[in-house]
Amino acid sequence: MSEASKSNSSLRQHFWQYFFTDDFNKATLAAIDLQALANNEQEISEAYELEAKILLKRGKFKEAQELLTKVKHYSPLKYFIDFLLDGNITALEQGITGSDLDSSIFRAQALLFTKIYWGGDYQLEPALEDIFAKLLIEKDYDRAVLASLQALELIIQEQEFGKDLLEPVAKEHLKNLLELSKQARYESTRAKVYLLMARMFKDRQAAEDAEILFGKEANHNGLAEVYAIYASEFGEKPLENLNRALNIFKITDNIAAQGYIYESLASDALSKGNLQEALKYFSEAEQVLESGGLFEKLGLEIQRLSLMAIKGEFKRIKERAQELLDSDIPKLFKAQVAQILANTLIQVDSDVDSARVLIVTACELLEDLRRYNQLLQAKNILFQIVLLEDDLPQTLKLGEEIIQLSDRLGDESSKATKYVDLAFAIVRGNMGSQEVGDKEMELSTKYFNQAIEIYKYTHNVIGEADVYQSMGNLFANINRSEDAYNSFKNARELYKSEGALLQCAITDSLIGILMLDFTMLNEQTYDIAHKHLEEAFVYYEREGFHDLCWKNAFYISDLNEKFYIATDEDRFKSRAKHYYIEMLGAIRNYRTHSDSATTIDLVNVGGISPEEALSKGAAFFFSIKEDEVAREFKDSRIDT
Amino acid sequence: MDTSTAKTEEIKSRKRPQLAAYSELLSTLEALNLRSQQTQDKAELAKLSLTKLLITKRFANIDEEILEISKQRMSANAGEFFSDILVFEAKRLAFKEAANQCQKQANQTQV
Repeated sequence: MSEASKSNSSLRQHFWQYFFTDDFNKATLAAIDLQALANNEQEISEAYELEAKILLKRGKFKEAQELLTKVKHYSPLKYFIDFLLDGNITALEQGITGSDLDSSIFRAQALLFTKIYWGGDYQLEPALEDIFAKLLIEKDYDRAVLASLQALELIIQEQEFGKDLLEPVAKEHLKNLLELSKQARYESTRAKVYLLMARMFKDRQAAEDAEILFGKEANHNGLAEVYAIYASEFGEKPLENLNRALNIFKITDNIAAQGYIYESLASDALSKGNLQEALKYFSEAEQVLESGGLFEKLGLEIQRLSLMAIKGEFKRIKERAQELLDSDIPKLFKAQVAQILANTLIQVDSDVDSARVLIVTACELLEDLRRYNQLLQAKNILFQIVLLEDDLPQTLKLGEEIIQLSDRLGDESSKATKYVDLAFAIVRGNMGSQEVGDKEMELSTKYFNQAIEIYKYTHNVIGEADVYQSMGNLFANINRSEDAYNSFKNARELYKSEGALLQCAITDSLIGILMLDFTMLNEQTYDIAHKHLEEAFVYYEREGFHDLCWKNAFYISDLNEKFYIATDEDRFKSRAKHYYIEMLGAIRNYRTHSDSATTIDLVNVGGISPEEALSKGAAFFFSIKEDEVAREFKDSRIDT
Repeated sequence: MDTSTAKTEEIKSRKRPQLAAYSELLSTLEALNLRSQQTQDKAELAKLSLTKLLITKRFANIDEEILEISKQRMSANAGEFFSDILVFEAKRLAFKEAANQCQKQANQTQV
């Protein structure tokens, strides 16, 4: 063997060592050196492919695609990356003609993705078994174990029913892979088996074992994945661990993983009601995933639409969602877009008919794709529509169907939510009156208690709080104010204990509004209402929830105005003035940030438009002879 | 034939081959479990467990079948679907027992 060949071969060995231990920088350098040392076109092309494999691991699909244009020989990797960017399975199937291992692996992976996102009856089992057997014959244990892990993950992701059947078999397979990985060259391979065990079975010890093995090989990417798992699966110091992982992924230039961490941080911030922080992280995710593939981009689109809904940008949602529905995107995303649009149409335009068409389409798509978890969500929206149509027998039937589906999926939380919905459905026809019969009330309370039982049993405090909040809303609607107040108080305490600030603030608003509706508003109820509304206002203002902010300011103004009229005391007058002015500012803010004059109802007892609130403000200032301020309110109305 | 009877017939015709397939999958899993007990070769064990996993995935579709039948039962209101569910559930239980054997086997290997 010549010196050149020797160094070529040793570089190649180094490349694979760095590849399997995830040292992307050194692997890339080895691939570049191989390009420089290449003796012919074939060797250069092979070296480009190696470099592209690292770009693929980093999530830089576009760069990989560009690099692979220089490859002159048959390259299944090239077709696979094209597929990740455009989702065109036909082109991949026409392109990948070989029967070598790489061809089989990329074809199988692409088909698995296709099955998940577009549906279709692909029989992948023989291919997966064949690939695994061939790798074992070649004694390529690292690749065999890694390929099997990837397949296992996708299989589990794709199969939503029968998890209780799959779990023991998956455990056996993972244990066998763990044993097999003792014959692999790299400890990182075994660590990856532990990593999947930790994720799939919430096995903390497995995560620690992975950390130790990754540490032995200084596999920084692997270590960062473990930190991310400590945060996401075990809830351990989420911010600290996610940021620790993020810093490592930045150093290793792993943008796919960075995107995942930013998305986790955004979702964590959102669950705590920190909208501004969520938007910041989401924008970071968008930046890093810019060069990602089709699925990453469409995933971002869905999140973007969801954030628009939270921000109240309904006009933009309608435009973008329609564009996406008209385009040729995978069925799974189409179903999600249809759901978001349907929700918007119900919320903003009360266009129940169009929403129903969209949601039925979404249900059909999801049923076809066998995405039962998402089907459950879609059916829940359909349930809301049926509820609005006041068809009690149909509502109860669909409700029971949803409970059954939730049960099959082991989704206790969804079951509980449906019990709450059914509790509402029973008394819905009598809302606003005091004529709810004992029998209805008994059945309704039974449903609520079933929901509370489930949440208590599953230690879901937020869920339990949600039930109390719903009970509060129901009691408020049938004029059982004291019961409503007690339910809201329970909800608030539970939300607070979990740090769910947005939900806590909304409950504060609900308590305030409940007091406003009391027929006997008195000093004691005034103090309670004022305290809760004020706390909520401070929170909405700080977090930039513009819609909730002006509405809340309106309710505080209204409360103080009522007391001023009743008592003629100046302190109520000056508080009413203060909050009406705050409301005016908040409405202006809301209009600046929202593309539509539409609003979200703060409570289900009916909302108020900015125009109505401004008229009320103007009337108040006219009544206290402050005409100039009153005119400012009047002139701020869009309809004037 | 009215809608309800048509639905019943449709389910029945779909059910027969499904039930046969489930019985076959169950026997295969049991046979694979036996083979796993008879070998110590790590590669062979991993190959066997992958096959078991893929078989289980196919079997897991039984849940979809049960759900479908339950839905039909609700809409068609035909009492006989109840016994269909029981037949499927019985197969499922047997399969689950065989699946649990896999985990027990894995635990023994580790010891």
